[in-house]
Amino acid sequence: MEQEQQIPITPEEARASLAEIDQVTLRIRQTIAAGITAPLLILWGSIWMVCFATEQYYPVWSQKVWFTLVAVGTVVSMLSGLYQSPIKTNGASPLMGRMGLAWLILFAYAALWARYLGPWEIPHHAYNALLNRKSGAYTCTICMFAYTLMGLWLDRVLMYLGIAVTILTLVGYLYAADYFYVWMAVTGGGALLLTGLFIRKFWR
Amino acid sequence: MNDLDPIINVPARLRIMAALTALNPSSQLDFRTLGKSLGLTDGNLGAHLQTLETAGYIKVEKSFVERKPRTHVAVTSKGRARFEAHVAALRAICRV
Repeated sequence: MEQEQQIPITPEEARASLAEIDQVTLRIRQTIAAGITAPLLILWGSIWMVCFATEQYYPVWSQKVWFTLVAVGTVVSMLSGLYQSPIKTNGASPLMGRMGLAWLILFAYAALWARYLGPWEIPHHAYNALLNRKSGAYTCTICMFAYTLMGLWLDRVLMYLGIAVTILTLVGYLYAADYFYVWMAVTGGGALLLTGLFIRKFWR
Repeated sequence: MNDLDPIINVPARLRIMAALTALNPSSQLDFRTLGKSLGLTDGNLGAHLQTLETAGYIKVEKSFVERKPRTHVAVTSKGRARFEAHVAALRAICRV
């Protein structure tokens, strides 16, 4: 039998084969991430940039712009997940259990964070501006926590991106004051967009 | 005696098996993505996939997505077990 024959191989060749396996494993994960993640990061980075810039300079239009672009982004994300993914999953994936756990952690984080970022009662004269800024920062950090969780299971670059944008959001919330939205357009939207472009260029 | 698998112990097939076992057991990878990420031509990849499929290490599934043919490849449980044994054998040789 062919399989029972001993194959002559030196320890150096065995080491080279193991290194090759590690390299291929990393490469395939990066290729998959580039195929799925990069276009979505570019899309959501652009949406954040446009929406936050509108919020800063044309606040009257901001609600409509946010609503429309987030709806478009959600539909495009779902469709690209269905049709563009290089991976097809049959039956229950082990990822499904992780997804359920991730949602639970995300809700717990959202509840705790709402408590910490509070109080939501704000003096009337500062109400709108501060509440809008607060809810903006809150929503962004929740999204970035989701990226961080995804990064733990998919690719570390998403985790670093989530942490970096969370820090940038908090810095903007605490120090950018009236320029918070333009800060978020540049740092938050920009970080998503640049990470997407980086993955697209170097991981394919 | 080492437990190296002669079917897997070919550079291109080792890389194919490494790529497919990196996925979840229930996942299948698109043929084009596999070839592109391993730097293999369609013909070369197809030939190696046929050898692995004949051995029962992988399964190939053809389907249509938006009326375009797409081929997906997945490792079988037998293939995963043989690949893990192959990797263990390589590690054992390194320790010699």
